[in-house]
Amino acid sequence: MSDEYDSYESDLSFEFEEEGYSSEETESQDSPGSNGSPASESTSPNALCKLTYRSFPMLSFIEENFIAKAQDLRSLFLPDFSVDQLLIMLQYKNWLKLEVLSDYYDNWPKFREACGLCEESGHERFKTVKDFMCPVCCESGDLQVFSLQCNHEYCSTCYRTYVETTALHGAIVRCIEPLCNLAVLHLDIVSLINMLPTGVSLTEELQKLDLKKNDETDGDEKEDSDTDLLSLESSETNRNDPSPFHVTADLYFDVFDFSKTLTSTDGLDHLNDVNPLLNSPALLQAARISVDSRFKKFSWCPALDCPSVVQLETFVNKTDSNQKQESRLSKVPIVACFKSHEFCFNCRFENHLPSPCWLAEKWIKKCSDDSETLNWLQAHTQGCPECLALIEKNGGCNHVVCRKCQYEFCWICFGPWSEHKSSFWQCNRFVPEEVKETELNKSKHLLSLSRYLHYYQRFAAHQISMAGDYKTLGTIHAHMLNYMKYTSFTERNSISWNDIQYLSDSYKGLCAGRKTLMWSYAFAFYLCPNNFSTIFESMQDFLNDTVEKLSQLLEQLKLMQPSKTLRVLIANKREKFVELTALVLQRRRMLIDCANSGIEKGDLVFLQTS
Amino acid sequence: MGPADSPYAGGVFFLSIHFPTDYPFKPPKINFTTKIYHPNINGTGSICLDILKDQWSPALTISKVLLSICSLLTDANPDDPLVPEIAHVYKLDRPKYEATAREWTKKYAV
Repeated sequence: MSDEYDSYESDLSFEFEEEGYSSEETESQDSPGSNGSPASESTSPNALCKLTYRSFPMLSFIEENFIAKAQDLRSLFLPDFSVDQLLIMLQYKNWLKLEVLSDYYDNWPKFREACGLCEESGHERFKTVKDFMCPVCCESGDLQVFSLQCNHEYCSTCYRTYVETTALHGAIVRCIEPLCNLAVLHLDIVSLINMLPTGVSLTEELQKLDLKKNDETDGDEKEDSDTDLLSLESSETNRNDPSPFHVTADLYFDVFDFSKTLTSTDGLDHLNDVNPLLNSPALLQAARISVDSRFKKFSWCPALDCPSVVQLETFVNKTDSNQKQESRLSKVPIVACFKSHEFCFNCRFENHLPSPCWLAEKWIKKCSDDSETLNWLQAHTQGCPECLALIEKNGGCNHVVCRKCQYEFCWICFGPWSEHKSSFWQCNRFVPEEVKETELNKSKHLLSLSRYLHYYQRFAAHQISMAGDYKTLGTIHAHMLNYMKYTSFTERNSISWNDIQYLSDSYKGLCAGRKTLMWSYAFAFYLCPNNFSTIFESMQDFLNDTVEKLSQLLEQLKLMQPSKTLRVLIANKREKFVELTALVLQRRRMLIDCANSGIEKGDLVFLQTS
Repeated sequence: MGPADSPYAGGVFFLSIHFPTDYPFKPPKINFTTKIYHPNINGTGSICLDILKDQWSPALTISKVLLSICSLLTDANPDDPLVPEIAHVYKLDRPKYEATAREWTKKYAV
């Protein structure tokens, strides 16, 4: 037992990696090997927004959109071709089945030529040739070579590197020979990439594939192999992330449900069914391009390394430019990917309720740019009257010597110090207009700065707390594992994750609450202060209060030592956890509803800031 | 050397070749350092040639690439120009294009 606890750190990393592959909504299709059964529709986590969508892993996307189409063609029209050949034809025709068919019936030899397909089969791809010199790397000796039906032979290491680099273009990979049009089929790509490394350039992907093989033999850690499939595609992702929010890289998208992954004993079965075609990096890249080009209907999950795709069922209009300040919260298309990362389909950013999209965007811009530095400078420094260098006075008398230009002046009146040497102290005389103007200016800057800092500090505090909660999650997970281990020892028959599931549910609730709180501060920053905004703020307080209580409760778990008493404690506190979580979720919903109705009735008004 | 059957005949054109670290799996970067009047080569010396971009193959050698550049000098590709103005002249007023090219060759490459 204590072993278990000691090693929770390592368990943890393993757990975090393999969050994937299951959650309530997608149970029906979490195995990429099953015949592409569609993910069930889900409705938006934003209860105000009527939106249905499906969310599924990348691999299912490939299955559904590429492989299933090829299988269809094969079973209905062109039984003489392999799925692999049909995939090439489809890829050539941009995955349009009808175009493939019309071109096929129109002029098959020409179409075949264009696709780079070949009639004869049974060609031996890998051979060892004596005294071979590879034209690419100029290596010579008895080498393993790879060639297509065209017999253009190159050493297999070069071929592999070639395939790896060209696959990233997302186009059909063709023979290395410059004028040879022959396509490298996807299964060949996979076998090239899976090829036993000859010790030259071991890419990360290959290492992972190897890892996967080892894990498969290791029955206990079967889930890991699931992960590797996922991480394979994500690791070599140089996808062009459309989201402009790189600045906030430390956002936490980690609300997930790991219990399901552990219980699924049939994880291994999926693996055996995994279509080897799914390992083709060329297909992955083609899928990426396909998703990116249909960005109105499809979107990547913006969470780091998350391999999931979301497809909208109902079409949302992107907010027009003339409606840029669309504030109705019912227009915020929040979706959740199959790993339960919630994000806004419109701005491809995390769930920013209760802030409308434009506000979220503005806030992020404000947080990332330097406008506040400027405000601070204006409030705390004054320019040297001669060279205009900014000076902050942190002590001493009012006789200031500019470090830069050595000009001596009076900090009070900005006149040259030479005038002050005599008894003629003009700066003591009060000139009302002048003072008013400068003071007013200064205090205005100070006020705006402190107002911003007030909200930003709160926004950031929750962001940081979320990072802390992420750590707590490790403990929670260890406890859950312990609990399961224990119960499986004592009561063999009745093991159920439900007993302990509430812990991860509370964690999810906590994160959801924090995220909403975070964005409510951004929201409040842009609000015009009036009676209604006070109501909003008091609701914010309520949520804050419950969130902190829940957080405290979860923190307490961290301090406990895993023992039998802990299990009793967990069982006893269960009610409190469940109750608080429900309260957080309820108050969160109320806050959002309040914001929404306030905007719609026009009670909550946004400040017109530049 | 400019090909004999082209307006660049007699000129000596210098090129810079930059090999990326993953050469030969990525194409080398080739630039003209001598000024040249050509629809597919711009003022900074960049060359618009498919085999230097997406049609690159690791099996191509530098001598093959140089050969293609030579043939590009003989047969320009005005339908996919880098400098549209020159391509326009090339298409509509071939003698004028040849005269200018010859003049530039004399001026910069001899």
